[in-house]
Amino acid sequence: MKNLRRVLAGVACLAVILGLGLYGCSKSGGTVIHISSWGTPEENQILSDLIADYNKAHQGITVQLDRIPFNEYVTKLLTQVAGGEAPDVIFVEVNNFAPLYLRGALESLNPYIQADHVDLSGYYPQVVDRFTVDGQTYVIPRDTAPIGLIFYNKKAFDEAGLAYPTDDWDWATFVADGKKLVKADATGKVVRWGFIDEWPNPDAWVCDAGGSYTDSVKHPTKWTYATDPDTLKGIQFRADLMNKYKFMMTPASLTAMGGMGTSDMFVNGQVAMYLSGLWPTPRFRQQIKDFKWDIVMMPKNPSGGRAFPTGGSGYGILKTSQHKKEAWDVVKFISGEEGEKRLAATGLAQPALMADVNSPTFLDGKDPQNKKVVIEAMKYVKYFPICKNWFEVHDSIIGPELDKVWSGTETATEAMEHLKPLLEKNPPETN
Amino acid sequence: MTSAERKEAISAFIFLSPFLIWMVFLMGGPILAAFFLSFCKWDIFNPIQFVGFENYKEMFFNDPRFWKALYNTAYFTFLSVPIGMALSIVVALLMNQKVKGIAIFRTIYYLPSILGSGVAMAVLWKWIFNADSGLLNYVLNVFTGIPISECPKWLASEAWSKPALVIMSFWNVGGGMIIYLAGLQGIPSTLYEAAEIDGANRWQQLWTVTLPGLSPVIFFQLIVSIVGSFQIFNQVYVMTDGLGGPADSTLVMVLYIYQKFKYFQMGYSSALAFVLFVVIMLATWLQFKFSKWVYYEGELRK
Repeated sequence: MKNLRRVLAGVACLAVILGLGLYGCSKSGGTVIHISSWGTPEENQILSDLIADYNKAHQGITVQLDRIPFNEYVTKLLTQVAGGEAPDVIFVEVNNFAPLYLRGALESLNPYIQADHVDLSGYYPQVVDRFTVDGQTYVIPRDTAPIGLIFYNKKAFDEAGLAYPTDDWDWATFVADGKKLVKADATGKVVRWGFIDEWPNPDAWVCDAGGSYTDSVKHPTKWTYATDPDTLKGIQFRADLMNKYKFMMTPASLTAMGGMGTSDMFVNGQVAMYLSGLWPTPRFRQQIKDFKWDIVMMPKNPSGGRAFPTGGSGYGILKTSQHKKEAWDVVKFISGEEGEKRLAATGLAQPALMADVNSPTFLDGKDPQNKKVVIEAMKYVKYFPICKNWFEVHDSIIGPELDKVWSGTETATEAMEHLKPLLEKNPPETN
Repeated sequence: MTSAERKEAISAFIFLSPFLIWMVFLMGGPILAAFFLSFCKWDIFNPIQFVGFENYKEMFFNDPRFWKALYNTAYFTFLSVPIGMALSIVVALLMNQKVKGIAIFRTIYYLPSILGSGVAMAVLWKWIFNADSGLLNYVLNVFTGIPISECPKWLASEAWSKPALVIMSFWNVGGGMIIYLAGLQGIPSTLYEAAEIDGANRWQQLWTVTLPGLSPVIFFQLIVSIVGSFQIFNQVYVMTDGLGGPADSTLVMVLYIYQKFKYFQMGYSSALAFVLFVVIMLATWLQFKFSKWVYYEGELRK
């Protein structure tokens, strides 16, 4: 085994030398704080600007930004942690928080918060709470992102003779409107669909229907997904939008497009309603020229309730960091007022600092006119359970089974029956 | 060992040396490590935990996705390899004609293989397979009159997603063609002359001279193609966003190994990799065992 380890170590060293040659030795002298992040160029620009400001003001400390594609983010970070090559400060999303926290990769920020008397009460309590387990806070929030907004094309509503949706609409109105929004050409080919989600997003409907995933979000012990009648309602409803009411685009029409494709369809007027979070706003402002558009909350379920799965992110410090004090100073700076203000100005995200949301910078009077609704949407946010195998269960167990519901070969009830034993065999892993 | 034999052995080792060096110094360690890990549980954070045959037991008796992945991989292999090889041979025979401008045709057929079977091609094929607006269903509609709404849904359908992958694999027919073409041109023309004198027509010449003469190349291609198609990954990863959907219908072995790796189940994914290794080895061994049909001219002469 010793030899084997040596060989492995050799291979690893080689990879490190080849791949990370520039990483460690770009500046001699002083402390280097590495930050890892993902995101669009616009999003990263805010961070790079902040970092440039910080570097200018601090002698002896250099902050360096590393971009990692979102899909590989957790995998790469955890591999770096295990290999002792991890960054100091990391950008953390509410869902990839779980695998990082559960593997003990994150430093509790409580001592730092207490020592510096940092006041977190200005942040949305829901987001702070998401990043706090058993009284320890691990991440300072940056933004929040309720995924319960429907972007709608006003011109399509006008053409169909429909009133614009209001935030208190319900599933029945949504279906009635959706059916009328479909437009076909002379050959029967659909030229405008009623509705599409940005990516296949049954979770939005499961949450909206009042469904659940586990018995507890913070300390889950078993899945309730397949046994919760409300979860089932949400899934069946999404399937019905495609197969029964036929106004939602089906997977067959969508393959070849992926995430970008769906937003292009909204921009081109090929789909009248589009489920997403706030982030497409800058793109829509820039690209949509020939119709008016706005946002509205997802419709209420038949019992009058609603809930939205939620994205969002913040900054944390890795336990393996050798410069935690300096790292904390950097976190305080980039998650503070200045960064939040700049984020608000882009229209890209909803800052986690409530004051910056209720500000003219964020509510700038430009489209979408109903932007302030994101403040109310925060009442309904919901987070996914904190367990190590969340992504595996969600993508590799639940996902493939639900595919059969979308194609209409199975009902939601049948799918839940098939899922019961599978979920029982793979309970939430929390240690 | 005669001096000629010694010389031959030395040159063989020289030719093999790049591979041997690569194997021993770069791949050897990881392969041994993976073999050891296949008997362990390891998430790269916690210490490695030895679990004996647990991973293999789980796989064979308790993991329907493993069987699904194995089935999907076998399905793809058994369909894509024979049809793909037959197509390559037919194209090679056509490209072996002495026609003016044949070099241009050969280039055209080989072009897709140079363009690669990589990510860009997978994205292109995704569009070709789109059920509503893709090229394939459009062509089907024009030639058969089947309305587009009743054409296969290809990548979006559990039943048609694997055939779609098979069709896509024919994109690389040109790669096989080049090798067969070389094989065809290595068949001595004296044999054809002799056959002609014996009164064999073109069809008989194909069966009694061309195909036997080509058999070592066919055998080589068979082995290489089967190994390659058992390891299909890139195309599926790109076309299904790494999920192997819909409903696991394109979950192939290497994709499953990758998924388990992504979820930090290093032991289990190593075990999967070794099962795939054994499957491929068995398949190759079987082919060698039943390789009597291969005709080696050199051996006969001795």
